[in-house]
Amino acid sequence: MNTKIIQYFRIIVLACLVILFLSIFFNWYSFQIHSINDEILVSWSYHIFTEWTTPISDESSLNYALRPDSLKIPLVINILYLIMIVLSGYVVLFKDFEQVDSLSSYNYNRYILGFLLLLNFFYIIFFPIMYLLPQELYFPFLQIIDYDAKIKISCAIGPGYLMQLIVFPLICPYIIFYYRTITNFEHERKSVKKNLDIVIERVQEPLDIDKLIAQEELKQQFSDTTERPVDMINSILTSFLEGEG
Amino acid sequence: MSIEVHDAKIKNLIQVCKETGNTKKLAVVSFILTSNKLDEIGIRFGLRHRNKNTGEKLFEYMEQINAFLEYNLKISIFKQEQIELLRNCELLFLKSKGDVPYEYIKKIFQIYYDFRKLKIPNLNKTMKSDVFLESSELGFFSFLSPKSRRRNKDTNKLKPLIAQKIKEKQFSLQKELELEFNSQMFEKAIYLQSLKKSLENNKRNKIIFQGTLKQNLSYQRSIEDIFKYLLLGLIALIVSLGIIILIELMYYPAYNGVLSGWSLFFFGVASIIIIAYLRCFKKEGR
Repeated sequence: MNTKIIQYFRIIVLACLVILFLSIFFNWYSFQIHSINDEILVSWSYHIFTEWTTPISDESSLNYALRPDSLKIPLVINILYLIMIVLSGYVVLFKDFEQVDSLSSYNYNRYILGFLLLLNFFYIIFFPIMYLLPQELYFPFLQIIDYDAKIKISCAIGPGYLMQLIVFPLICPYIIFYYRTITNFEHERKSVKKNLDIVIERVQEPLDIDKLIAQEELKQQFSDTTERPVDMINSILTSFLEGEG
Repeated sequence: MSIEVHDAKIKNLIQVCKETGNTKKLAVVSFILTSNKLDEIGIRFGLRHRNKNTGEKLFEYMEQINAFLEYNLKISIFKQEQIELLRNCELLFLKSKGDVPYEYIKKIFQIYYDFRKLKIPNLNKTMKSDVFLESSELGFFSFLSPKSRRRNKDTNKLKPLIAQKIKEKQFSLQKELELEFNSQMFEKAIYLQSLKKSLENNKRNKIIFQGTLKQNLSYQRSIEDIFKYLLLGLIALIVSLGIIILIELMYYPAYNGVLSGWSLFFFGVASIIIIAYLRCFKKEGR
């Protein structure tokens, strides 16, 4: 049962990674001004790659006059985030640490997952602090009704950012567990014994006992002959004494 | 080749050489066998092999192995009489260029079979502390394992006492090993040495296991930690949101009423989860 828990969390993380990937295409923040009659006067949505976008096409309208400033989130971080999401998906899907023969080979995978968690946390914390608040874009949402001007101002975090918030506590357990397991556990090295045997075999002097027995038996059979065959033993002795192995 | 087949062949060779009177061949074979076995012992203990090119003799190599083990574990694997016996035989063998009396050859074979009795443990295998501690009275040291070391913050205070206990146990093992070499006792001696080193270095050791991760008891126990991480993630998220609201409060003090409500909400929820976390997991830790 216990081991199944990890697999359940793995599935949750996979689903979360899909959500994270999709979150990039959703708006992260929206700023709207409605008239009292619910007519949209200003509408801007923030996407991390395309920045502020609007469904209103009239460029001379109030909408364009009230366009929020660019948030200037470095594109490199966004691209890195996208890459990390894809890489993490690969790691979670194909690099299951419970099935592996050598945990040490998964060292880089834990860093990938750890980095994704950090980036996710970075967006949760720094997106509002560094990019929204200085632009007077309120967090998490705000609605002001101005009865004199007969307008309704609303700003709110969008589904893209909400997805980040939902995903973080769900991916956190599996990623920390993955990281800690690879840090704390290690397979016993199997190759050391094999390597030792190879070294021993290389160092030891070859000894063909069958051959030596056969020589002696031959010698025994032809013991009556006056001429002795070439004595192999002398060569073995010489090589042994000279250390030629 | 199995050991039985190997022995049968040696027996056969001795028989045949006896019949032909070729003691020289037998002497050479006995020395090659002894040399090979000695190389194997040395390498398995993590030493270099016998340096034949510089003319290092077998008994000198035996002394080297003994010196190495005495330095590291205060244990000597070869008895002095054994070294002396091999020394006499080897010097005679070299002097007479292989022509040694049959009695000497018998002694060399005896030494070879004595070497074979030595079961050298795999020093590259890290002993499983659970198995070792269960089978001995050394349960006292069980809290040196990484997990329990984490739990016991007062371990530092007990360090001198643990070190003393390890030393005592090592000493008794050395005594036992001096009387008779036993691979199990030797493994224990190595394990104690590694414990002593880990106590000195105070480094975090990895849990080394064989087979699959799922079968490992420590891993199975650690699975429950995933719920701990879930709560920790939740706490980190909610506290972060509370911090964002506090920073927003500094940016826009005019919205104090609304924002302080939000921050109270986030920090309140975080406190509840922290209390739940402490109740569920810290109690277990104790």
